[in-house]
Amino acid sequence: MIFAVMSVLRRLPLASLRLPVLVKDLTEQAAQRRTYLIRFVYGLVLFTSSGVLFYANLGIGATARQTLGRGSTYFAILLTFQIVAMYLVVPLLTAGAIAGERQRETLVLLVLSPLTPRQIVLQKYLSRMTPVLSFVFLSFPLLAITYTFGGVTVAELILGIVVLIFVCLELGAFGIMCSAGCATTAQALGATYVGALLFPWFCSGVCCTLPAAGLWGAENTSHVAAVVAAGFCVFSTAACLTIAETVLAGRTFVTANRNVPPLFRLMDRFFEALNAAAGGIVLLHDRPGLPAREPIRWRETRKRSFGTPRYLARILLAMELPVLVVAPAIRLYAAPAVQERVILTLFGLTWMCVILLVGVFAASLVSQERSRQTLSVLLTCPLSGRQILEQKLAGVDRLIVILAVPLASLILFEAWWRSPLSGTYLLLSAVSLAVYLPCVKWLAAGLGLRMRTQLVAMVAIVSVLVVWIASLGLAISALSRFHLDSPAVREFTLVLSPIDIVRSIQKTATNAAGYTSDSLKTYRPFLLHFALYGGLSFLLRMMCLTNIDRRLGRVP
Amino acid sequence: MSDATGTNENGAPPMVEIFNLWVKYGPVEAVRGISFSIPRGGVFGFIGPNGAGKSSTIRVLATLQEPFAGWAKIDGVDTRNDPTRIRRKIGYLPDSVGLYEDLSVREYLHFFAAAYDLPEANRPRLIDDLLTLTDLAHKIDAQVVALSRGMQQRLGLARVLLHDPDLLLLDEPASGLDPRARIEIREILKELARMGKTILISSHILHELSQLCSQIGILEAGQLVFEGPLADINRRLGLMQLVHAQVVNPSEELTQRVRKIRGIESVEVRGDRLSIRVRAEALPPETLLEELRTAGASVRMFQPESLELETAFIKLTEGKTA
Repeated sequence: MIFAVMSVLRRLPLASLRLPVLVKDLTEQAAQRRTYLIRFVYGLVLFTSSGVLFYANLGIGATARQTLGRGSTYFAILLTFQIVAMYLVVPLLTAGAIAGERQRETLVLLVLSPLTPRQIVLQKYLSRMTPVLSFVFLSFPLLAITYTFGGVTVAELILGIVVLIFVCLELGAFGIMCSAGCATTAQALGATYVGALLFPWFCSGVCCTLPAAGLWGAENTSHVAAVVAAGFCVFSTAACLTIAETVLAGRTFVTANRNVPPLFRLMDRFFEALNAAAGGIVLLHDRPGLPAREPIRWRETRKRSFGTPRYLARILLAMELPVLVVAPAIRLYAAPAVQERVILTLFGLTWMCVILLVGVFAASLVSQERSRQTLSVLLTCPLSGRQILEQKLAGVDRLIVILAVPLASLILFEAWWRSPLSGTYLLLSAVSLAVYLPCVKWLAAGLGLRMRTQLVAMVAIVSVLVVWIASLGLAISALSRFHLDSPAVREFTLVLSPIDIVRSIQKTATNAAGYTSDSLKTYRPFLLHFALYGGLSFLLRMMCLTNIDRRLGRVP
Repeated sequence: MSDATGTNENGAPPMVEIFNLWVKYGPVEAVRGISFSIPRGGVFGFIGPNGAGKSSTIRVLATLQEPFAGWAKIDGVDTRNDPTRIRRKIGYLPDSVGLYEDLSVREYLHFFAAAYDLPEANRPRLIDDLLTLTDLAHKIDAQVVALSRGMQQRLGLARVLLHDPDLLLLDEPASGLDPRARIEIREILKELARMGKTILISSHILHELSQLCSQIGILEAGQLVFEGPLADINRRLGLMQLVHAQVVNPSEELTQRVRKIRGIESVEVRGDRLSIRVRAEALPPETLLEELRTAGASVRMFQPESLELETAFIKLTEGKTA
């Protein structure tokens, strides 16, 4: 069958379709080993987690009666897994589509060719959607298995698949828009991730939640709502692609030095106008001065967009304001039954944002110098490799302090809300901040030292973090299934898993789950966990700084 | 003065010594056992097609290449033994200038002045002097990204000179520049050579090198096919040099007399101008001028063209890459 289709495809006059960009991109992808490697790893993770999920809940030899009707639960979990995975994968695949061409200085050749901006954007979009859809198709056999368990109608199955595809198409279009607008792949990736975090509440959220309401709780799906959501999705996809097409030619020559995101520039203008009206009050002066010593630290903290006080303050506001609004709103208005879960989700999201931002920035420090060809000049200076790396990380240290603020606010709010104040909760939370963030910083910096380009470094750190968290989750599920969840095993998993520790710290706030005792035994998993991750952080730091000159690419 | 080994009269070692240098990237041998030395104050031109191993050799000297076999010394110091000391002795300008585009010209030079830990009090004066030397004084507050390619290259040269290095390693400094910018760079390099700096410069623009270098090395497929003074190439290959002369008393008789001068291959006459092709090794330009006067020519203008390095390059290389 497949051979017949391929044979037909080969006979099609594809050349006359004039899709040179698509053909080139697909050929390039096909020639890269990593295309197959990533697809294999993704498939492995998807099928292994599904296997664990089915087995953990049903076990081998479950009868048809036992499995009957369980399909809807598995279907919802699988769909959620795929959607979350797509939110991680699609930005990685789309960010470099146009920004990469710009960085390689080949975009100008495309723009000057007879191809219209629309053709370029659409072909780039299709070239990235092809692998994305291959990821989506990977889950179809698993969705079919959930259908066989019962509890899922054909309409729901189709609707679920359509939702998944629409989310990918929409997110892909958003990624292409960011890629067309941003100077570098790294900026495009950052913009797409930030957008993707906000996106579900505006576009994909509408698309997902309305039809999914039928899948994930409500009895009947409103077909009108589904059609409206799908229409909205198509509209937002078209809007993103149109914006990409419109800005493409104008931003062909935009260079990385203008790396202040357009949003920041807009905010600059807004705040300057506001300030003029307020009488010119200046709280933070952007006076970089000149470097006396430690020039790299000076550049990282005074000149780069995300190192300067002005922009750090804005990142702080962007992260802090939602936390300050959303956390009290949940406590005041959410139903008591779901409050804890929603607050935990908010914690999880905030942690995820913070860790991703720290990881991505730390990973891109050295690889960015390498890809911009400024590293070799720096390496011929008499600065030691250790000085270079430590000074480069100064900006990340500032970022860590800033990003810790929203987390600290959330922790303090929770401690205050659940008065009387739990000292243990505050202490454990503070330690978690002090341990995890430097650990991510050194892990990312170490990966960044090995990677040739900024994008690869960013992809690597995101993948490592996701794989680490996912594999721990899988291992814990498997242990539970094999009835290995004895107190000792539970303690062991707690020692390994940051997610479980964060969750357990939340429990200490309510003095729930036995965290009433102050005995050492109760808190032993926490102590061991933080000792493990603190030690890991120290080890990663050592690994980064040992043979640093060689890793940077010079004679030690 | 330096002797054949590059050791000068004070017994100081040559500025650059490379012996049996091998650089490999996986299975590819980029540099295959090259050896040469550059005396103090010498200007060494590195010529070769893309992939010949020029940049790899320069990266070895810049302490950016490891591992490699053989040895490379700068001012008698092995690049592997004391790379930090080497880094204070060299100024490295890579083929891509390596500019921080978020900095202004002033900030950029202060950045590297701090990196070399130059005394803070001296920095403004030093930077002003270097910007004057590179004709960028009027651009001191411009953003680096706003400079033209030629200006960026000159800024790169200013950066290289900040810590007053003994040896300049310049990898294709004139590539991608327009003729004016190339001439400007060449004049700066001539000035630096006059100041006694040792310069190792790689270029594709052979004409540029022939006007600048005291010594050249032609590299092909990782091997040095020739190394020595430019005149040696001409001697070895029997190359011709073209000399333009304008005479006040042109005549057929004079032309015949000039043709008979020993070492002259041909004479082409265009009005009062003579284009004379001479065998470089047999008749140096200064002797030719004497001979012309002896032959009765009243010379108004005398302009020897640079030696035909392109011809030498083509003759010595076969277009192979590593």
